Amino acid sequence: MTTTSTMDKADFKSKLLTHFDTFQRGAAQDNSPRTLSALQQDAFQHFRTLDLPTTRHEEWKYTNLRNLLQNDFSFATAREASALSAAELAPHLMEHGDANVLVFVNGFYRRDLSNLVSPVEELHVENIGQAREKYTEAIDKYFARVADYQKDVFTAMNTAISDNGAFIFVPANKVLQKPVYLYFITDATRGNVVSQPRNLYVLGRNSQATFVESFRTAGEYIGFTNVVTEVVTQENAVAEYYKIQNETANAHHIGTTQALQGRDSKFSSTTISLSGSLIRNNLNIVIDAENCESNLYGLYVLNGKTHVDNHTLVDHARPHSYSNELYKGILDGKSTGVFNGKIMVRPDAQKTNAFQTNRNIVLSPEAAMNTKPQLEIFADDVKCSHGATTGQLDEEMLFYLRSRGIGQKAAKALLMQAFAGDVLNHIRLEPVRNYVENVIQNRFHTNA
Amino acid sequence: MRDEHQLHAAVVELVAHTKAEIKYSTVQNWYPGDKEGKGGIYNFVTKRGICMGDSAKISWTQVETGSAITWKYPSVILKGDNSIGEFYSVAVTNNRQQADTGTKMIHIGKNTKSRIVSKGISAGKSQNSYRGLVEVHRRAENARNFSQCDSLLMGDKCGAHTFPYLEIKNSTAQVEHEATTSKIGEDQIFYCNQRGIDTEAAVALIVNGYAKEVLKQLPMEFAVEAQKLLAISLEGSVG
Amino acid sequence: MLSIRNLHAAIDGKEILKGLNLEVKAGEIHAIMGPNGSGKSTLASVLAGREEYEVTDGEVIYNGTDLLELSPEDRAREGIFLAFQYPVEIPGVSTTNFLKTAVNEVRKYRGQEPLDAVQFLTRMKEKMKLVNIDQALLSRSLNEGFSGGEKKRNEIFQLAMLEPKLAILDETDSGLDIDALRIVAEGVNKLRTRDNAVVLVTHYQRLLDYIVPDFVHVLYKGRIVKSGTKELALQLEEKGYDWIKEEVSA
Ligand SMILES: Nc1ncnc2c1ncn2[C@@H]1O[C@H](COP(=O)(O)OP(=O)(O)OP(=O)(O)O)[C@@H](O)[C@H]1O
Ligand SMILES: [Mg+2]
Repeated sequence: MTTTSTMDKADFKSKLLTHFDTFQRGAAQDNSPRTLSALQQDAFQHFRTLDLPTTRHEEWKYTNLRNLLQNDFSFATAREASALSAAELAPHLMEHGDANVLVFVNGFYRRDLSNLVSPVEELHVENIGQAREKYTEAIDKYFARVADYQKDVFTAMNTAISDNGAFIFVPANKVLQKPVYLYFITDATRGNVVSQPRNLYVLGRNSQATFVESFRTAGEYIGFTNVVTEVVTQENAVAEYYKIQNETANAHHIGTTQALQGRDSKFSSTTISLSGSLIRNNLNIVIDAENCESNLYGLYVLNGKTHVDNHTLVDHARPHSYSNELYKGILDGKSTGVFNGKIMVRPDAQKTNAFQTNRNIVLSPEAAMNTKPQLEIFADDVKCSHGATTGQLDEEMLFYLRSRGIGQKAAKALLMQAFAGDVLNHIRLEPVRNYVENVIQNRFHTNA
Repeated sequence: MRDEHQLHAAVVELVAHTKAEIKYSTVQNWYPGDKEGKGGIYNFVTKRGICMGDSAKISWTQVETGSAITWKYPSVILKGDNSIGEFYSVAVTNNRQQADTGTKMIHIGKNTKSRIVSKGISAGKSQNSYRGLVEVHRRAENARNFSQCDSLLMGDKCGAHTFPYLEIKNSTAQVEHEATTSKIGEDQIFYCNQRGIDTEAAVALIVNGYAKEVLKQLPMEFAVEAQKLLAISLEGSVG
Repeated sequence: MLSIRNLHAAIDGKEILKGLNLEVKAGEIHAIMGPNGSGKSTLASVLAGREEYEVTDGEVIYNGTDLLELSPEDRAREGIFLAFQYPVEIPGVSTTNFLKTAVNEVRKYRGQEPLDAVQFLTRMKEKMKLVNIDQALLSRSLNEGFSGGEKKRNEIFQLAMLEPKLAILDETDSGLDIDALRIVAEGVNKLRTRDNAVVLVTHYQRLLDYIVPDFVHVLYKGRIVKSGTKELALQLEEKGYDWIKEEVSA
């Protein structure tokens, strides 16, 4: 077994290396030769030397990539990405109303399907590959500075290969009135495909903005999305970030969201996983300034064979900050979940308040949940807590509802909605909340 | 007062049969010794209870402010189905005192429940530990436990420690453990002062608020005594 | 109302305030801005009576009395309110219970009867509306587990309940989103009368769009190095502090 697994990995990696050559020659883009930045070269060197993880790797103990890596993938090209039509896109959209919409197919920006409604004083958008010309300072200061490609092989791969994705800049003192919806569609209608979008959102001093990333796969082939998003909140800025995954049973997703917070800033993230084959979400927040606030919410409602692994890290490096994390999960069928949440409080970070909670309901005997909360505290005047529970629906509550004439199925659905409500109530964007509520309500009423 | 130590070693055993309910409350303020830790009582007590019959309930409540050293772990064996065990504790240590206290909840019957609320307050150069065991036996279907262990530190020369042990041998169990550690320091006192509350009133307010969940388990007249006792035990520990 | 003359203050032997002068009259709003570490919070702490700070020179006269002679609680009782940059948390003590104690201690000092439960509740309800704060928040332990914005709003709520004469708000606007900022600012504006005064410590000109100051001062290296009107704040937002630093060293 071990030998095959090394084989697979070697195969996957050699394919990637070949792809990188092609990319460098420009074939993957538009046949014009590309010059790679020194940073991309460096990331590539790291990708070459880093191992693809196995379950012996502590951070991948509960998530096995063997099935994913043994597939034969083709790497996304711009030409193929242009195939998806507006009509084919439509079913993947939320009812977001009047909002900024950016569509990426297989990682490539589709200007024709996108629409910006906010005035340019509030919102600047560029394809990340071209952003450096105009936003030299921001790119040099933040691009790939916080997402660690030196240690994470998937981030290295993304950094080396991708120069497609969104660069968004919100200028100082501007409140972006309309949210930005980013749709990342992996088009697997013609074959197995890897897509690697790369995003950077920079919020200037005192600014405020909301981002929604929605991940969807079209077609029955195997899709593999390897995404990296970096979010920077400068002094006193407020960012709200949503990541919604409602994928096909053949969709694989490995994503890293990396936030860097400036003084007095606020970052809140909500990660919702509804379906897919294998999903791994890394969410890393670096609080390197005083008086920051970070909120991390997560909800996973799983059935079938879906596997979802949420890895979060809140790194408190400076005093007087607050972080609060709440992840909840409902697992049915043969689904499996992983929650690995780490709070780090460095010696300088006195007066830190950091809280973490993970609660799970396991509905079927074949579903499983692994929870690993970790607190690493090096300062003495701090307040930190964590709590984790895994259990079943409360029989007494269920009985109570049934004794009032509510059927078993409806009673269960009601309790599960209440359970999920703790997270859903934090979603401030109504279209997103409605979308998620609809999906899970249908699920509860058909599956329960 | 004397320089040497005395020993207090008592044994209390409780048995609750079907549908019986026992509530056992203690407020302990033995001589703790002087500031340097000279003298004082060694308070080594064995307290255990068993819920023999179905739907029996045993509830321990304790307020520990005295003694040089306290070792005390009131426990409940939950043998009868649907039986309930509770442990509510406030332990205050100041100067050189040591308190090591906690509980054991042994779930054997079906649908048994236990609840643990422990509030430690350490000041001066004292040491305050919570040591507890929640054990769910193989055949104890649907056992439930909730534990809340909080520590309040006053000053930076004292210590608070929590040693929870959870041994779960039945998969239908729901066991929850929560722990917090916080510090009452000059910051908090100054905050109260800034709102017009003097230091003495501030300490009383903070400590009684913190221990409220346990104090309200005590009979009324006991509770008033206990509140005063807390304030006296901590006199001069801040500001 | 408040007159600070040549104030020098030190902590751990290190001089932070180095001859600060400030005059605040009833009915005025003063904004104090300045780079990080310039001494803004130190000034607030000295006025509120934090004992770690040693006043080495100068005087502070508040309504005709020597403020520096009073204990922190007596300063509060005389009507000085500090909204803390980092409000502390007190587990187990609800905001309601805390405020009831504070309000009645202040009343006792002024020779007034304590408010009974009903009177206190009525007053609370009224002020809750004023600053748009939730009952649920007030029943929780004081500031415990509150988000940054909730803490700041709670400070303003306490300000409303205690009705001080001189309110010092230390960065009450930091870390607030635009909606929370508006609520806080409105709260302050509603509490403004001809008899009280407000000192706003802030980094962000944005707050001053909502609470319009009569004077803006720049605190730099422990001294007020420039004073002006609200236009000065706009200038600072645009140009930063470098030009002021140059002026000072020139
Ligand atoms: N306990 C202390 N010991 C030594 N130095 C201190 C202490 N507290 C504050 N200082 C120093 O005093 C100076 C002024 O601090 P203060 O908090 O008043 O600044 P501030 O203007 O409020 O800054 P900010 O804008 O960051 O809130 C800083 O250099 C700070 O490092
Ligand atoms: Mg300050």
